Amino acid sequence: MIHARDLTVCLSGRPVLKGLSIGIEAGRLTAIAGPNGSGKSTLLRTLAGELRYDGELSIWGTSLRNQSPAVLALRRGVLPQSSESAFPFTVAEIVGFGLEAGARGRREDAGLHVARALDRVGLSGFAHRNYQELSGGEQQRAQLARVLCQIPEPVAADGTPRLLLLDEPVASLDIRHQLEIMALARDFASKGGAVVAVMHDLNLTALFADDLLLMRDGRLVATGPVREVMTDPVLEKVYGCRLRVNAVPERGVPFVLAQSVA
Amino acid sequence: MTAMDGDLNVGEARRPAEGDWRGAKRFVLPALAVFAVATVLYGATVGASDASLLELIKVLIGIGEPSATFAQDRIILLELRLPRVLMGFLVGVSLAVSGAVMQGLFRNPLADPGLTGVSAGASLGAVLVIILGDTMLGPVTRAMGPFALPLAAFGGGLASTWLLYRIATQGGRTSVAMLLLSGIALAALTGAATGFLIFFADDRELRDLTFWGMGSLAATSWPKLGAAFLVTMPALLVAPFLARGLNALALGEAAAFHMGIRLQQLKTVAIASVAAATGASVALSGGIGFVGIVAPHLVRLALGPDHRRLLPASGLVGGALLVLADSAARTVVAPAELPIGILTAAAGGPFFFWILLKNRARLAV
Ligand SMILES: Nc1ncnc2c1ncn2[C@@H]1O[C@H](COP(=O)(O)OP(=O)(O)OP(=O)(O)O)[C@@H](O)[C@H]1O
Ligand SMILES: [Mg+2]
Repeated sequence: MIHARDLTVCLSGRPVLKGLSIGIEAGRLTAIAGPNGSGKSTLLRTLAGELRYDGELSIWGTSLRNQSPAVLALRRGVLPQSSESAFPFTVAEIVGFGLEAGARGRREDAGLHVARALDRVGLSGFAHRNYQELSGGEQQRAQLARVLCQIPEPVAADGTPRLLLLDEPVASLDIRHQLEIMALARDFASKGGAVVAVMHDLNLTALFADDLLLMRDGRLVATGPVREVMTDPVLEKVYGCRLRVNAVPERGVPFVLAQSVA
Repeated sequence: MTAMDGDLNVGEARRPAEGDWRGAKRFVLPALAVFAVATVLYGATVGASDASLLELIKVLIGIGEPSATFAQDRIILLELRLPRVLMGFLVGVSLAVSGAVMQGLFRNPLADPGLTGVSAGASLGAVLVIILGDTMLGPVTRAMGPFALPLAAFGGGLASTWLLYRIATQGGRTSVAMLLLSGIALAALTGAATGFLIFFADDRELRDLTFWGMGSLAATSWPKLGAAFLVTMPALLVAPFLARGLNALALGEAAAFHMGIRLQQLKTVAIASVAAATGASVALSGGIGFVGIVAPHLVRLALGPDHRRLLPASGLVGGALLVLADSAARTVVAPAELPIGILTAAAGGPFFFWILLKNRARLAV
C-alpha cells in the first residue's frame, strides 16, 4: 500500500532520511524501531504528508505529493508523540474534532461515537473533563480516541484500506494500557487497515507487530517479518549494545534481554 | 478498586449538572444577542442631552405629540447619538473578533492585534491621513471621503502583516515565535515613523491626534459608519468559516494538518480579516485597547473555547462592552466627555494582570 523508493528528507538543510526504500502492506502492523535520532519520527511525519521529500513515495497508488490535506484526513490518522491543547477544551470536544475531520454528515450521533471511542481507550467518564488537566498517559489515550473517531473503520466504504500512524503510542502508558492500546492497533490491522507504529519497546513489538523496520542514522538497516529481523547480530548492530533474543517457551514469541552496553 | 469506584461516582454525580449547563449553553448566544440589542438601545437613550428615544419613536410612528425641543432632539438622536452608538458596537465587535481569531491563530489566549504590530501598522496609516490629509495627501483624501481613514488604516495593517509574513514565514510555514518577535520590531518601527510625522504636525493636528490616540467615538457620522461597515463586514463574515480550523489548530499545526486543515490558507485568511477589522477600528476610534483580550476571555470562561461559539459570542460581548463603556464615557463627567480609551484601559489593564497571574505557571517559559 505504501511504496517508497530512494526517499530522502532534509530538515534545516541536514539530511535526516537518506535514501530509504520500503514497502508497507495493508492488513499488517509495521513497527519502526531504532536508536534516538535515527529518523523514526521523521519517517512517520513524511508518511503523514507533513514534510517535503525527494525520491518516490506513493500511498494508495498515488504520489503523496498530489494528495490534498482534506482527502488525506479521510484516509489516514496520526497519533503524535505528545500533544498539548492551547485552550481548555473538554475531552469530548477534542475527540469530536476527529469526528469532524474524518466523516462528514453524521452529526446526530456524534455524542455516541465520541462515547464509544472514549470507551475503547478506557476513558469513559472523562468526557467532560478539561483536557489540559489530564495526566500525560490520559492525554495520549484521549488523542488516540480522537484519531479513532477520524478513521473509525480500518477499511473505507470504497474498499480503500486506511492508514494509522502512531508515534510511540505506548511510551507514557502503564503496562495494562500498553497492552490495551497495542491490541487496538493490532485489531485495526487485522481488520484490513495499515498500521505503522514507532516503538522503543522491543518486547511489545515482538508480541504485536507483523513487520519490523530497523533504522539507524537515517538509513534502513533491516526490514521484514519480526521473527526474521529480530536476531542478536541485527539488533546489536542497530543499537550498538549487547542484547540476547530468546523465545517465550510456550508460545515461541521472541523476547529481548539487554545484556550490557558493549 | 475503591479509587476506580470513586472516579465513576464523580463522573456520575457530575453528569446531570453538566448536562443541564450544556443544554443551557444553547440559549447563551440568543440571550447575548438580545443583551447586545438592549445595550444599543440603552446607549441611544443616555447622554449629556435629555433627548428621549422613546418620544422620538412615538412621534415617528404617529402616537405622540412632538415637544418644543423635538427638532433639536431629533438631530441629536439621529445624526449624533445613533451613529455613534452603532459605531461603538461595530468597533467592539471588530476588536473582539480580531482578538479571538488572533488568539486562535497564535494558540495563545494573550495574543492580540496590538501584540503583533497590526494595530501599530494600522495607526501609522491613520496618522498619515490625519497629519498629511489636508496638505500633501489632500487630493487623495478628498477623493476618498470617509473611506480615506479606514482604508489607510487597513492598508497599514495589511502592509505590516505582509511584512511580518515575509519575515516570519519559511518554507511555507509560519513560526509563531518569529511572528510575535517581528511584531515587536514592527511596532517599534511604525512607532518611530509615527513620531516622525507628529514632529511635523501643527497644533490643531496634534490636538486631533492626541484625542484620536486616546480613543474616542465622538466624531462619528453616518458616512464614517458606512465606510467602516463596508471595510469590516467581509472580515466578520468570513470569521465563522475559520472556526473549525482554529479549533484544530489548538492541538498544534501538525495535528491540524492531520485533520485536513489547509494551514497556509487558514493563516492567510485569518490574518487578512484581522487586518481589515483592526484597521477599521483603529482608524475610527484610535487607541481602544483590551476589548480583544477581555471579551474572548469572558466568553471562554462561560462557554468554553470552541471557536464556533467563541467567535460570535465574543463579537456580541465586545460590542455590548464598548457601547456600555462609551455610554459611561459620555455621562460620568457630562457635559464634558472622557476618552473611551481611558475607560477600557483602566478596566482592561487590571483584567489583563489577572489573566497573567492565573496563567503564570503555564506562561512562564
Ligand atoms: N527540525 C529539524 N531540523 C534539523 N534537524 C532535525 C529536526 N528535527 C529533527 N532533526 C534531527 O533529525 C534526526 C532524526 O530525528 P527524529 O525525531 O526523526 O528521531 P527519532 O528516531 O524519532 O528519535 P527519538 O527516538 O528520540 O524519538 C535527529 O538527529 C534530529 O536531531
Ligand atoms: Mg521520535
